[in-house]
Amino acid sequence: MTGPLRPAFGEGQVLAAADLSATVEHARTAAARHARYLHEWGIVEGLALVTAPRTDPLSGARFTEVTVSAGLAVDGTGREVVVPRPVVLREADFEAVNGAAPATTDPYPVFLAAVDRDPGGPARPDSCGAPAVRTRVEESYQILFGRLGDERLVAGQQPPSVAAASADPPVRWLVLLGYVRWTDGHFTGVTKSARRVGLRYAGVRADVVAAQSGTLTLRTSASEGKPAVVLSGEDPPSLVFGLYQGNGEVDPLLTVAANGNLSIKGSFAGRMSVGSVLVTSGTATDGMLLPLPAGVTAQEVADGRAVLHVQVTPRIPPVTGMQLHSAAEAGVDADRRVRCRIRTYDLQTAPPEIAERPGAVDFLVLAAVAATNGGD
Amino acid sequence: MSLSVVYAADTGHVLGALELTGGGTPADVAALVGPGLPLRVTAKLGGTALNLPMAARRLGAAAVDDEPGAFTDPLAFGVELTAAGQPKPALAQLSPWPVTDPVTLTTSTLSVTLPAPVTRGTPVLVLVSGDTEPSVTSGQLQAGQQEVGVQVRLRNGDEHGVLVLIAGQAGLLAAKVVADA
Repeated sequence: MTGPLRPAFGEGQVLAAADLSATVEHARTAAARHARYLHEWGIVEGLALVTAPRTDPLSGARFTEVTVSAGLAVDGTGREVVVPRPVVLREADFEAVNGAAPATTDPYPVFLAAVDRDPGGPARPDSCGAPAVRTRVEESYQILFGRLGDERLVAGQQPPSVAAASADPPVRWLVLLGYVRWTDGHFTGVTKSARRVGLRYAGVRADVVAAQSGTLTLRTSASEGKPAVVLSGEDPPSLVFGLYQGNGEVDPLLTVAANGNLSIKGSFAGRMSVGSVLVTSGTATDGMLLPLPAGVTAQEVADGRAVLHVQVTPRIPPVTGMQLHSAAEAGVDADRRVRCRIRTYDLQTAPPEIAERPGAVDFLVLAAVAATNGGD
Repeated sequence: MSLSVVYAADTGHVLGALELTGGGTPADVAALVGPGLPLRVTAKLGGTALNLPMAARRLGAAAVDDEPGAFTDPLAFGVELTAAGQPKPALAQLSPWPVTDPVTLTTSTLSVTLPAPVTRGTPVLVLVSGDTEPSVTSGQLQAGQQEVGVQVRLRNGDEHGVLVLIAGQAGLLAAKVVADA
């Protein structure tokens, strides 16, 4: 098998239609290979299922008109599929496929596929008297309704081989546009996902992505408030995760500086490294539960990944008049609940009257990550 | 604010306090006390603990301004609510009792006499320890009333833990020996 053949021309050469067609075909095939191997196929722009409420003039029933918005997709063969203007979905086309299906609230898939069409108009006669021929092919599209479950066909489609020329007419490749719901002879709604199959958008296949400006930005959406990642080579360099502000800037939530320093705006939670110790301290009265240090969960303590050391010191009131105080009890139980009683001796009576009341402790809770069953 | 308190939802009395170094104290009942707050008082006869557990559903939690007294005598403070039902940030100092032992416990009645008649409807919550669970009585003093009376059925000479919470007055937590009616 030879490689791609690029047409070449010489002075005085008589150009046949096949020579000119080969020129076009070479470019089409190269473009399709590029789209096929440097990109992931899918919806590029638009092609959303848009709904509008309508009322049946005969029955008065309310239903939904569904329109495919203008847009562009690239299918798995590398062919562009252009929908140049919005297209209203025809209920008759749906009924032709699913009219006999039992009534259901499950959504039906809607596909887009490439198709070549005759653009119409008179064929141009050949000046040498040869039969008139079509000189243009419209690279058009068709919208197809599927049966329930046909969305699974999308994942099973196989792209052509690397050496394949552009198919003419094009191989049918289904691009899922979404799903419609059908009730009593009308569309009643749309959805982007059903039966765990959703829309597929075009992507990029690359092992290296290099910015020209020195800053590389990844955004999940062009909308404000959506997550974004910025890899900046400016001085100082940084890696930032944050929320897109809509003006090209990203409000940083997490920043890694060039020296390795990590800054976060939120709290940190995650697996602790072996040997690390987290601490919390404070004061609590009898009966209160001592909190765990931030980043340590009760489950980690329960299964031994974190080992607690708790130290409590009773708060003993100072001597007041003829009253002396001591700790009758100071500790925590298995639930980390404070147990503290303060005993008071009233020396004004003989013998001294003794009373006990709930007290408070100053506490220190240390959580150490165990070397087994634990972090790295 | 780094001080969190749990309080009796009926009367506002502070029953427990927790303060974290550096702040960030949780302000929900479940985190602070779990299923309930195990209040207790030591019996004068024998020194055993008389349990007065307060269920979490009867408690509220609030993050409040620092108040060192909340650790030495929490029952002397109360949580007040805003018109919107939210706890105010400052704890209220409750009225002290002019007598050291205003509670009387007999075989048939627990009674408490206030220093003066109340001027408006005043919530009251009374717990008396039992063999297993405490008896809990909640109600309201009407304007003009001065005495709280709760019917009990106790044995003469037994000792019980008593918690009396009257809105506006410091809470009373004591061990009482039952007297003959």
